[in-house]
Amino acid sequence: MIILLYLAILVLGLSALCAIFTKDLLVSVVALGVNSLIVSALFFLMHAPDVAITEAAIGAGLSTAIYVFAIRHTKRQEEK
Amino acid sequence: MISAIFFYSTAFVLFLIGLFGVLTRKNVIKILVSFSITETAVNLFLVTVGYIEGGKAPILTNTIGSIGIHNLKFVDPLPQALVLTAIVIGLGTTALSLVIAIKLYKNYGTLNITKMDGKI
Amino acid sequence: MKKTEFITGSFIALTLVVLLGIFFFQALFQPSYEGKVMPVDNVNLKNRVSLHYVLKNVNNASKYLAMHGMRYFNNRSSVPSQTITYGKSKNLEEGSANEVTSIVVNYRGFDTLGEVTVLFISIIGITMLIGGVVEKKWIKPSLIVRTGSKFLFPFILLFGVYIFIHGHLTPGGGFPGGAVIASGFLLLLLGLENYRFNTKASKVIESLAGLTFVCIGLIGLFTKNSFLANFIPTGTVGLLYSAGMVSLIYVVIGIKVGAELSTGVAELKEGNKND
Repeated sequence: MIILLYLAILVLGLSALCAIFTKDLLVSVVALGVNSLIVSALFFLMHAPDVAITEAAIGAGLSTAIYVFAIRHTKRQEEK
Repeated sequence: MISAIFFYSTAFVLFLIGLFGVLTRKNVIKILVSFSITETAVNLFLVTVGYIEGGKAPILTNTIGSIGIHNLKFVDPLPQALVLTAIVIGLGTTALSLVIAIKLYKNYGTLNITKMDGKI
Repeated sequence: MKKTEFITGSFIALTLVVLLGIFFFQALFQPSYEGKVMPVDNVNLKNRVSLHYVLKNVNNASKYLAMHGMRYFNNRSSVPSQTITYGKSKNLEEGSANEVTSIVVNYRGFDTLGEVTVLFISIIGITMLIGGVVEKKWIKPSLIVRTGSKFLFPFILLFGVYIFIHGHLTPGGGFPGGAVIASGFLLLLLGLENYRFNTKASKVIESLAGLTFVCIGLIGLFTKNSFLANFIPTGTVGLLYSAGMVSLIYVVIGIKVGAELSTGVAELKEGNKND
């Protein structure tokens, strides 16, 4: 159980770093969605099911979708 | 049972990563992604303030039975109520700033903030 | 901008961030004049204001504060309260089983009205600024995607409605329920190529829901002398027909948030030709 938790935190940090440092904006947005999903699991471990259900529906679902729509209207690759 | 220090540290590290992204990135959408990470970290911090080790979710159910002044089994529900609405507002503000980013791209032809000055 | 300048700037930013991190972590472990700066161990609900929200004796607490003054702050738990039992306690001050719901809708309902207004204003901003952005062409979705999204849409709507109708009993409520409804509309927008979201109808529904929220508050003002006061009797804790106006307001919030978020997502996807 506790090993699984440390693994989740590792993935959380890695996804945040990936969202910031990658050149491809689509990869960055998907990493942000993964980040939100793991934070939602942490909310559930903190006995906050209301917040967890909201974060899973909004942070991982709708938020990713609106970022993808915005990238479609602009440019996918980050320029130098 | 998980200690609160664990969640506090996670929130701090996530906040610092997001802050570093806001300070150093040059792409507008990248800056907004960093802001989203920072916002998630702040929500995590606020929920952790209400976390009590050994508490249960603040919902009265059949298994919990009854609560009184001498058997309080719950975690603090007030920060959770705050964060619940803050997440939804966060989506609204993120969508508004993304629309502004799209309009910037239409005007300048680039998303890089260092190349935006001068030409309209 | 030269590359060396960028590297120097990054280094300065990294130093600032590390210093801020040291500041945060020393606040986590350093003791102050009354316990730790951030409470980590021996946290107790009895020393917090939320005690009254959980035990549903906020009116008693304010009377006690008016009578005894400063003695309240030393001993919060001496405010008279009663034991609340699931399925048995009747006619409490506030009857919802979910404490988060009782705070969001009843005790701090005015805040929630403000938050819904902020969301409304941000959607108005999106609608104003999106003019002049034209949608690009999408790849035509396959037969399986089209049929699947048509088939799944009613069930997603049903799940969203379930979440906000049971908001006072189970985790969830108006905000997540509205988000689930909006994700159902997102599925239609992505799966059907000829689907156009009816923005005008959603705006009418959303305004009507907002008006209903304010009207419920005004009824409370005229019958119980305070805005958003509970005017319906609170039944037994744990039944579906309990908690008075809380379930009513959460249904209204669910419809309003669902309409607002689906409008925002649809505007961002489709754009608007008129500048």
